[in-house]
Amino acid sequence: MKKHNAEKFALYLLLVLFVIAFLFPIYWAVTTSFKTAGQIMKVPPEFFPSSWTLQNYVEVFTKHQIGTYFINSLVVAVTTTLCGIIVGTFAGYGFSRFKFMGRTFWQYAIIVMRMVPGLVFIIPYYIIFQKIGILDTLFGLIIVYTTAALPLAIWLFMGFFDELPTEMFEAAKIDGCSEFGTYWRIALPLIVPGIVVAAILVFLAAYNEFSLSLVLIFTDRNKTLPLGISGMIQLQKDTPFGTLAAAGTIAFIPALILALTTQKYVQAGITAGAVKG
Amino acid sequence: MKKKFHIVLLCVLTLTFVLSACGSKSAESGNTAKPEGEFKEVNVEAPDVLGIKLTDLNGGGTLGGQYKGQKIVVATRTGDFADALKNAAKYFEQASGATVEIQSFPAGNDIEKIQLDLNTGHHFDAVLMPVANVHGYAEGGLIQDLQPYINSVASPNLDLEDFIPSLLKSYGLYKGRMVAFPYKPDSQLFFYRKDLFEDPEIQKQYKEKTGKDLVVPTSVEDFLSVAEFFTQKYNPDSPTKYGYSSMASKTNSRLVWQNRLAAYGGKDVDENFKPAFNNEAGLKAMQTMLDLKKFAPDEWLQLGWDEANALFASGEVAMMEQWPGLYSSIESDQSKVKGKVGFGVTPGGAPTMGGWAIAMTNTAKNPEATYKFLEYVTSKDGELLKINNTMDPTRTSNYNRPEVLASNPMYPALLDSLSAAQILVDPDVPFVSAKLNDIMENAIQGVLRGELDPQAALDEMEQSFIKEIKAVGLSL
Amino acid sequence: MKRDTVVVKRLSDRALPYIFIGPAVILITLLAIVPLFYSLYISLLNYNLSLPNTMIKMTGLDNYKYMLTNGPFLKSIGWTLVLTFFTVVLNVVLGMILALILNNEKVSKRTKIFKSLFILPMMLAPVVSTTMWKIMFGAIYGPINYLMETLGLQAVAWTGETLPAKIAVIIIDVWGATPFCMLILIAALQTVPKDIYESAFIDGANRVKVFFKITLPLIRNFIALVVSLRVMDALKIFDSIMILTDGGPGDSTETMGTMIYKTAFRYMNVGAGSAGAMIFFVIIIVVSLIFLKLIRNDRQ
Repeated sequence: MKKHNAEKFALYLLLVLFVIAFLFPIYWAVTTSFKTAGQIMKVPPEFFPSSWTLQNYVEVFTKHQIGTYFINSLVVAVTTTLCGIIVGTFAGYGFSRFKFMGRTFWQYAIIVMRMVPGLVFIIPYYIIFQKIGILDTLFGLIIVYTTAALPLAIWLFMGFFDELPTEMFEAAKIDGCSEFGTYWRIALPLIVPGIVVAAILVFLAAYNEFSLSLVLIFTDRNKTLPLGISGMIQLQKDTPFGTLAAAGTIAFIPALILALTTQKYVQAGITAGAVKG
Repeated sequence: MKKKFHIVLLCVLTLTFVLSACGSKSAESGNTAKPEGEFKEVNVEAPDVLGIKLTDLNGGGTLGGQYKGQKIVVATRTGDFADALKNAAKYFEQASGATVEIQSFPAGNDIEKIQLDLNTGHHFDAVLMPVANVHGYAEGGLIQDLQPYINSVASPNLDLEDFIPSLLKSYGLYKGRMVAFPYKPDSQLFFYRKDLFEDPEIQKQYKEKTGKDLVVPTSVEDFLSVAEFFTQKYNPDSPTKYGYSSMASKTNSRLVWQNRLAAYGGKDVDENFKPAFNNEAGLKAMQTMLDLKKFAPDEWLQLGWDEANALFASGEVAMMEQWPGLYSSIESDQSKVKGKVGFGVTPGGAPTMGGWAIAMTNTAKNPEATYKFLEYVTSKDGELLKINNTMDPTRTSNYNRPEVLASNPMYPALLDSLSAAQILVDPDVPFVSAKLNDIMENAIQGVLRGELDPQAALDEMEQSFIKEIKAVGLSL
Repeated sequence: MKRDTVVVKRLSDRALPYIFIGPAVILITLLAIVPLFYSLYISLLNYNLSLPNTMIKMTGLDNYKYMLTNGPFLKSIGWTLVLTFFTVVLNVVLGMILALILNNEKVSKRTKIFKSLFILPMMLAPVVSTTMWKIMFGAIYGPINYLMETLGLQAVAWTGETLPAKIAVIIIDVWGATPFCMLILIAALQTVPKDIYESAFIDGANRVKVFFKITLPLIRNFIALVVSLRVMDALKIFDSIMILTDGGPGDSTETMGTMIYKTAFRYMNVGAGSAGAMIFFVIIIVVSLIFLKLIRNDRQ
């Protein structure tokens, strides 16, 4: 019993140490958002702010259009996640469940697309979008992000669908389920943990993407958060670290909510694993 | 339960697509070259700036709402540049009837984005960019000559001679053509601790130690001697820890060398784009840079804008070479040197110049209205609309206004520096300016870290310069 | 491991797979494959954004020659591979340690909060987190140097010297990507049935042995997934470097990504940049395939 407790203690200690190491930069960002400029560039650094100010938050809303950026980012990220999950599970299911002409080719093609450096796409996207008139639109960002998310999503879903036992599908067929019915009612619910993991990744990738939005977006009303926030750094002027951190903290909130609320689905992975046994 | 989810999903999807489709109308305005609106009397009122009443906000009476229905898109960097333009655009819109859209992109990526669009997308009617880039656009035929418009539709108050002559020449003219108006003057300035230089006790000590009088250095020799005196490593009695500081992080370090290069009679490239630094002057400038390193902070190579300025504002540095923007750090609440700083020309007397200019693209949809906007934001009164966004004036007459001169103690030094400056911070070579910057940065950093010998660095730089300049077909 | 796929014979069923994969295939074709070939075409042109469009012409493989004889670019390839090696190893090892702890029965009842906390680093926008790292790595005002000095160590010029700058770049990437590895590895560990462990422990195997002999082989697929995804992404690292060091000091932290970005956009040489990107692409394929192959072969 004693040994048991000692081990428990050691594990918790290790966890806490990891938490401190991993959360320090975030802690620094959040506390910086409540500091005045004088508290930020200081020796010794203020590990705990000696006084707190809301000035940075006021500035973020009055001087910068953080609200617009925030809504744009949410619209883009949420839509991208939904589209990515729908198209991705569809394809993952198709690849996992059927043998057909071109299956291997497309599987490889999708994996290879994941390897393409994003820089390759910048100029072609710009030129193509210019031609079809969807430059400077959120729609353009959404289709680009969805495509970028697909390889990873499909790959993950394929793995999860592969783990489902064949007998289950046969049973569904005997019960008279159509293929879409099997996908929607039987397969999909079983891979919910996988969907959640993929959804988090797709959401974050879209929510935080910078390079493509820089090229494809022009006007302030269509800017997303990363684009808006990076505009706060001017090269020949003191970086407003406090305001930047405040904007970062605000941008962080949806992601935080996502992290906290999806926990139980990630936990549900246990049930998914149990299916196999 | 599942059905419900299905429906909600569908709704959300359609809704978002509809919404984004709504936003997708790109605003292409009609191809109107000439004013269409009727000319009428307009009265534009703006609040006083620095107590000066702005009287000429109607383009000397040439605007009169006649550009109604026309749209101008101006591209620049996010932050002060965009804010300054937006501020002036408000009044221009009232006066001209045109609408102005300022599109801005984050620093560090703005140049790329704007170049891409100038070359491919043609969304912009005007661009406000660093001078070297503007000249690159001119060489590439991406911006147009302003002279025809100056001849035909200029405001009676344009007064080109009023621009500081060196600025008009180095910013506005390219190969003898007027391609842009100066928008923001910029030069390396010399900041020094006035309180220390004026302290009789310190003056006495300096006299004892060196046998010379302590004066604000103008020559490189005095500069080094004063820097040594104010460095604690060499003089334990020094009131400051470091005699000298600047930014020596990557993208900034070349300035330490450039600030002396012209002082010794060298240049980055001559008018035929031939490197002119691999000589005695270049070598001496390298040597001075290495001398200064002894009096600079140990962390010098890591100091970028924020840390270098914070260090100076903390009072640990006696002298610093920096862009005018340091002034706001000095004047900020947490500064320990508020009111204790003097401003001058960098020792050697040939500071490096930056600067921004505004130009019209050759695909401008409403060229006449665009020209009027350019003229408006750089006009005598128009300039004052940007002064609160750290965009200093470029016209002599504005520096002659006592209110303007009194608003910023740095202005006399800035004026002197602008007329003394000879080298542009980004080499004035079209197409490859950015590449040349990085070549210089890598070489200078190599020397500062002791990995490269100064002569070897100069040789390497010269070779790379020639190779890059030749590659784009510019004459050597 | 591979499940027997039901072979469908009926004609109406023939179309079924294509309906399922159709949307993905269309999107990927239009927005990935087509642009990729477009880029390949650009890489054969002397396309320079700052030159007038009329001067653009085919130059064959000149751009490839230019990139492959470009010293700094070749140097950056070496550093990119080193960087990838270290970050991926650290990612997977740390991710696995965290996953194992969080999956341990003794603490797993209370790990909910920890799991949420550990994935926070991937939530913060890179532009914000890298700027924060930049403050933290600050030479004079940085908390990291302050802590080191408090502990009696020497302050380090993190971005001013070669080795510290390289370490800083690795730290940022390890910090940002380990949560991702942890997330996948937790899901992986949960696919291992508990009774397998029980019977192994009854047989007297110790935990280390169980981990290497039973757990690892069972979740090999997931590890292959994590490693190959991370390798691909680590090879592509560039925005954190652009913000933190801009490739400096000198060109010591330039990666393939930053070199290509600078060539194509800062120096406006899109043709050469695209050629560099194609070379980069081939390197990524080769390295990733080697990884996949190694892990897959090991399994059989």
